[in-house]
Amino acid sequence: MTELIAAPERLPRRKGAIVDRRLDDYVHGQWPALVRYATALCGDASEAEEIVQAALVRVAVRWPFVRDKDHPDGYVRRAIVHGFFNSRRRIRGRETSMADVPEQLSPDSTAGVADHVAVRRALLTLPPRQRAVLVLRYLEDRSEHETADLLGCSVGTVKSQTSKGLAKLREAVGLTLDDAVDGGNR
Amino acid sequence: MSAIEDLLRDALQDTPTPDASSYPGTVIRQRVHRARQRMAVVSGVAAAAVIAAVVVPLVSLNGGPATSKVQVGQSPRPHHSAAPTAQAAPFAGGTGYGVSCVDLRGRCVYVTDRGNTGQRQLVETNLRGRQLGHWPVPMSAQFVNSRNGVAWVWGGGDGAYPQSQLTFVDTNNGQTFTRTQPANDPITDVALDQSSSAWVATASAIVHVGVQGNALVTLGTVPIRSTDRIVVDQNNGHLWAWSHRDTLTEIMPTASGGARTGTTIGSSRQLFAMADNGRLWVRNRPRQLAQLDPTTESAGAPGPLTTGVLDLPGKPELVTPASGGIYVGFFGGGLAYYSSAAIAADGPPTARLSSPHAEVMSVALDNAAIFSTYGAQLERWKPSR
Repeated sequence: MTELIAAPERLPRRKGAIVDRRLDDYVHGQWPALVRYATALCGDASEAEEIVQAALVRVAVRWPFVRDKDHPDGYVRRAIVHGFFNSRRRIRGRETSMADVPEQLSPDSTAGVADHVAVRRALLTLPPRQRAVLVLRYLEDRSEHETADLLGCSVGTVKSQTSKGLAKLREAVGLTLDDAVDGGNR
Repeated sequence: MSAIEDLLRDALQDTPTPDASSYPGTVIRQRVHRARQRMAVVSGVAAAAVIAAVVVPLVSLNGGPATSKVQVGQSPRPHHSAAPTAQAAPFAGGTGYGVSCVDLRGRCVYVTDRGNTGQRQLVETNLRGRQLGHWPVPMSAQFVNSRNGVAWVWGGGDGAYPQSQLTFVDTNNGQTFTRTQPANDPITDVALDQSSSAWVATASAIVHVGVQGNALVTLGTVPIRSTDRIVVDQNNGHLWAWSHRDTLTEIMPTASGGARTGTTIGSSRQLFAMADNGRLWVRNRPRQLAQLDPTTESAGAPGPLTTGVLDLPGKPELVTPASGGIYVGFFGGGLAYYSSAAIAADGPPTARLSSPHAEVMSVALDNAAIFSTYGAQLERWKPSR
C-alpha cells in the first residue's frame, strides 16, 4: 500500500500575498534554514516553527518600513532572535533544568554522538543571549560584526559572550561526558 | 580553533532541518492578515481616544457653549475578521438529533423526541421547517440518512442501548421496518446508494441492506471491519470506506447485491465526504483538508495523491459538500462555508459562524446548512454571500 504524501502548499503569488513577492520568495526558499536556526536556538522544532512564524508576521506587518527590501535576511533573523528572547522571558521560571532532559545516552552510543548530544544539552542550559551568540557564530558562521548587528549589541559584547559561553560549554560537556562514562561502566 | 569550538560546530550541524514542503504559507498569510486587522482597530481606537481626550476639550474651551463646539467625527468602523454572514436560526421544532436533507423536493427528515412520551420519531419537514409527517422509530435512534423520502435511521450500540438498530422509513407510503444488530456489532455509519438501499458499516463488516417484501434483508456483505466512514460516489455508484486502521477501500457493487473491493489505499487521513470528480475530502493535517484523487493510486502513480489543500482556522469535525462549495464544522464549535472560489484560492472562508458545535449536518435544497448541535438543537444557517 502506498502511504500518502501531503502535497506541498502553494506559495501565494497573487498581489498582497504575504506582503511583497520579494519577501515571499525569500521566506519560501529559506524556510528550512530559518526553522533550523530557531531550533538550534530554542532546542525544540515545534516551538522553533512558532517563533519563525511569529517573526515573519512581525516583519510582514512592518514591511513598508524595511529599507533594503531585496535583502530581508537580516530583518528576519533579527526578528527570530528577538522572538526567541521574548519567548524565554515569558517562560522564565517555568523552564526546566536541562540536566533532566529526557534524551538519554544509550550505553552503546558512539563517542561522537555522545559528544554532540552532550554539547546540545549544555548549549540549552546557557542564557538566551549567550546561546544566540554561539548559534550565530558556529551554526550560521556569522562574523563577530554580523552577530553584533543581528543582536543589537557591540562587538565586544559578542566576544565576551562567546568566550563565556564556550567556557561554560567546556565545563558542562566535560562533566556530562564524565557522567556518561561512569554510567556506562556501572 | 579550539576543540570545544569544533565540537560545538559539529553538534550544531546535527540540528534537524525541516522539509521545504512544510512551509505554512497560508497560515502565515492569515496571521499577517489578522495582525493588520488588529493594528487597524488599535489605530482607530487610538485616534478616537486622542480626539476624545484632546480635541474635544480644546474645542470646548475655545469659547461658546460646549455643545455647539463638539464635533468628534465618526467612530471607527468595526472590522470583520471574516465575511459578514447571517446568523443561524432554530429549524423546525428546534430540537433534533440526526438530520438529512437529500431530497429533490426540498424536504428534510430528522430524529427527535416525541414530546414527553419517552419515544422517538422521524419527522419530515419542508424547506421552511414546517412539519409534513412523522413516524415512530426505536428509542435508540439517533442518526438518519435519506434520499428523496426514503430514510434509514440508526443508533444504539452504546451503554444505553447495547444493540444497534436500523430502521427503514419510506415517507412516501409510511412503510417502516427495523432490524437489530448483535450487541457486539454496532453500526458506525450508513451510506445510501442510487437505489436508496443502505450500505451499513458495522464493527464486523459492511452489509448491504434492502427491502424485500415486508422485511429488511441482507443483499450482500463486504468483509471490511471497523469502518468509521462510508461515502458514495454518485457518479459511478462506487463506495469508499475508511477505517481508523488506516485503510481506504473502494467498494464496487455488483448486480447481485454484493460487492467486490477495488483500490485499497493506506491512508491515516480521516475521510469526510465525496468531493467533485470522484475525489475525496480527507483531513491532510490537523487543520488542513485535502482532496484525495484515488485514481492516481489506481494508475500506480508514485507521486502525491492529494490534489488540493485547504487550510482551516480550526480542526475539522464535519465536512458537508454543498452546491458550489462546502460546509465545515469544527471541533469545539463553529462552522465555515467555503465557496468553490475560496477553495481554489485556499481560503479564507466565505462565511463563518462562531458559536454552535454541530454534531450532524446536511445541506438543504436551497444550499442552507441544517445541523443539530451536541445539545440536540436543530438549526439552519444560510450564509449571506
